[in-house]
Amino acid sequence: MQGNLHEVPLPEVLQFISMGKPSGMLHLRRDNNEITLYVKGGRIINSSSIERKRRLGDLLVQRGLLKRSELSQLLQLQKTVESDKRLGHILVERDVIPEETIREVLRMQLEEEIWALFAWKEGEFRFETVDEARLGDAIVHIDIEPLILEGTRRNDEWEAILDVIPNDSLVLTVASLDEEFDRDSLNLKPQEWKVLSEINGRFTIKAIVNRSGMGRFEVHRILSQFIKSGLVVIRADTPLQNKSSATTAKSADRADAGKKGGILSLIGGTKTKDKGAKETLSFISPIGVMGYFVNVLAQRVTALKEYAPSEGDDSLYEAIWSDIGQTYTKADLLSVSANSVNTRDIETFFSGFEFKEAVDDCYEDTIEALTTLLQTAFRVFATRVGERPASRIVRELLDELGDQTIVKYRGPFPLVERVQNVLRLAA
Amino acid sequence: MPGERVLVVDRSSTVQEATKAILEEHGYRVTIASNGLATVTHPEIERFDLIMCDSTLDGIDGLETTRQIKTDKEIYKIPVLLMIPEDSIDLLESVPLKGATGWMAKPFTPTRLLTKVEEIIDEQRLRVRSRKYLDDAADRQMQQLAETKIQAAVEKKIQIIVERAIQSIVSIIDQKARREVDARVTALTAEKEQELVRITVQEVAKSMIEKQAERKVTEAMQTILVEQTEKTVRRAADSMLPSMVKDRIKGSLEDILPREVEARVDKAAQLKAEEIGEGIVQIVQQQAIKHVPLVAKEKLPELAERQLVTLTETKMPRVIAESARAAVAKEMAQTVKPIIDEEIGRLKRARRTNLIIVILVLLVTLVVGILAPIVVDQTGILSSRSPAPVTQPTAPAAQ
Repeated sequence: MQGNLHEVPLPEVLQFISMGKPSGMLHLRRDNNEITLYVKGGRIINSSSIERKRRLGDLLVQRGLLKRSELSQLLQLQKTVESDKRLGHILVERDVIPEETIREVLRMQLEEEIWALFAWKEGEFRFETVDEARLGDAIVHIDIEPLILEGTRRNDEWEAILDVIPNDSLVLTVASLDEEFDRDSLNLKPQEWKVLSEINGRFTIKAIVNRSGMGRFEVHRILSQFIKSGLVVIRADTPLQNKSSATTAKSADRADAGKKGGILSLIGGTKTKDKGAKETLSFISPIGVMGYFVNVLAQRVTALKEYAPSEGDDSLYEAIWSDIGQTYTKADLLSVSANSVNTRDIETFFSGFEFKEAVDDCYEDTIEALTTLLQTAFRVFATRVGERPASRIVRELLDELGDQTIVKYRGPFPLVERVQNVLRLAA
Repeated sequence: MPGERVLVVDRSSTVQEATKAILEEHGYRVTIASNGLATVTHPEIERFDLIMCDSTLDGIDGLETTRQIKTDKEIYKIPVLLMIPEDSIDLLESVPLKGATGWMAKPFTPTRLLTKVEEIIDEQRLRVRSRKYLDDAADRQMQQLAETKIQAAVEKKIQIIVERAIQSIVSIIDQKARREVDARVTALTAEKEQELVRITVQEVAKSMIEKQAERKVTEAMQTILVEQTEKTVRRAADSMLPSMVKDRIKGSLEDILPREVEARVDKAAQLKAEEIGEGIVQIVQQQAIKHVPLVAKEKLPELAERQLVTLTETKMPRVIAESARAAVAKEMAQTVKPIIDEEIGRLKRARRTNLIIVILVLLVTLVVGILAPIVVDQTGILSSRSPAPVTQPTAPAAQ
């Protein structure tokens, strides 16, 4: 069975599947977006989208159900030992998170994903029958009938919400209060308050959805009400919208400040002359090491004669960060401007806590965020200067720093190993 | 102290998470929020024991949030700890903290955080306690004040009522007494019965005014005054008291006031009754002084005259009878005896005339025997011409 959603809308396709109770995969494609729904006995058990794997783990971390370090370990495990298994299964099997919780999270994630598809007015679909055994065990089974009902209802509301919130990359901020503001007049429900409490002038709607632990639709509905009532406003300078003109006066100032004190002042590193000719760098923590690494990388790559800048490269890190920051929300004391990461604030804050257990989650998010920044930036640089020169610079840097770095907290830090793990360096 | 609820408000998720972790480790229950609007709109904000608020929040900053909290009559008591970024402390040094309970530089160490939080919560606990004492003291003072005010009001009211009651009673009695006396006097004068008028006036003055009026006053005092006063006082107390004060002290009033008021009213009434009694007695006395001498003056001569007549009529006949008998006996002794004695002597000297003498003696004795009862019978008329008839009968007998 295949066709176009323009002719046969998704609810009808699903209705058909629900009646025949087949097992198989429903592939949906619109432009570059492709998603597959796995159906077992007429019930949806899973989906695959590009970001899918990443998202379950992040969702669990953001909801505080899983530690970042635990996730890293599990993903590593999945990569090496249990490659055939899904993260959800590993979590259940290893009893990291109660099955009921996983089921709830997965169900919500899956339902949200399918409901989002209801908005597709165009696109191709193809149903492929598969042997039931091949589909493996499923943690959740979603009945199609109620899903269609709810999806249709939500779809109508979505139209209205989209008028207010055209996309999830918008950053929201709370309006200032009138003199006669009467807090009793609001009378917020706990869920509404939860959504409101996440607004900080930095997080995008997507980040708020993830952090709230609530459904995307519900959060959007609540936010659209807040916006309509004027309590919450969409920031005019939402970073993603201003990608091209990211070098605002403010970030220019910061860049200047960074240059004056040198890059080390931004990351809190200090140089000390060793007996030998080589310099030994001292850092507060691995965060500083990573920050130093990505900052020097940008400097050296852009200084190469092969470097052919593209539009927006001035604020490449900033652009990358505006995306990463929404996932690694607990790393939000990091600031990024003019291709330079400032780790001073976050390291000072963590130092106050002596990097103890209380800051574990935040620390891990920060390291992970910097790693992802490095990864993404490296890919971009590789396209600008070529794989080899980019790799060469990374190697040079690793040689320079390598085992020479001293960290006060959370040491020793295996920088070389970590960088080599995430970057596929060209020979 | 375990269990206290803390709301941590910071735009940074890092700060939220780390602060939450430390506080929860030490038993606090922590809620996190990222902006000032969420702080003041938390559905159960009044249940927090502490609000920790970053000074640089999105939209509504920490100071404005603090101002909102501190000017809200339901939540102003919740302590607010401002977290001020180190680099903006200089700027804030001269800025009022909008009523925040304390502040703390950011970044902070867990030790500093815990010390500060504990300090503020302890202080708050102290404040709640001392506030309770203060409230109690204020309550007591209010109660005392209210009682004093009520007492004063009640006393004043009682005084007014009693005075009015006395005035009206006195004037009623005055008018009534005067009217009655006047009416009777007028009526009796018209009948021209002077004696009766006087007696009646006396009667009225004595019995009516003295006794009846006195009794009436007492009765009136006991019935009208007490009842009316009590009623009026109660009514006055109800209407006069401001309702707020009334509510405030209602409980205590129910216990204390009725007894107090009753006692006071009784006392006042007693005192006043005595005064009124005295007043009335005075009035009566005045009335009596005015009327009694007149009556007495007019009545006295007539009384004396009557007594004289009575005396004459009852005592006179007996006295007269006795003196008449004494006079007859005297006359007999003085006039009849010498004549008899002389005749006896002559008879003795001339014995020859014995027979004649014997006949003469017999004759005289006979005459006296016949005359004596007639004289006694006619005492009243013959008392003035007494011995003459004694000799006259003898003369014919001697011829």
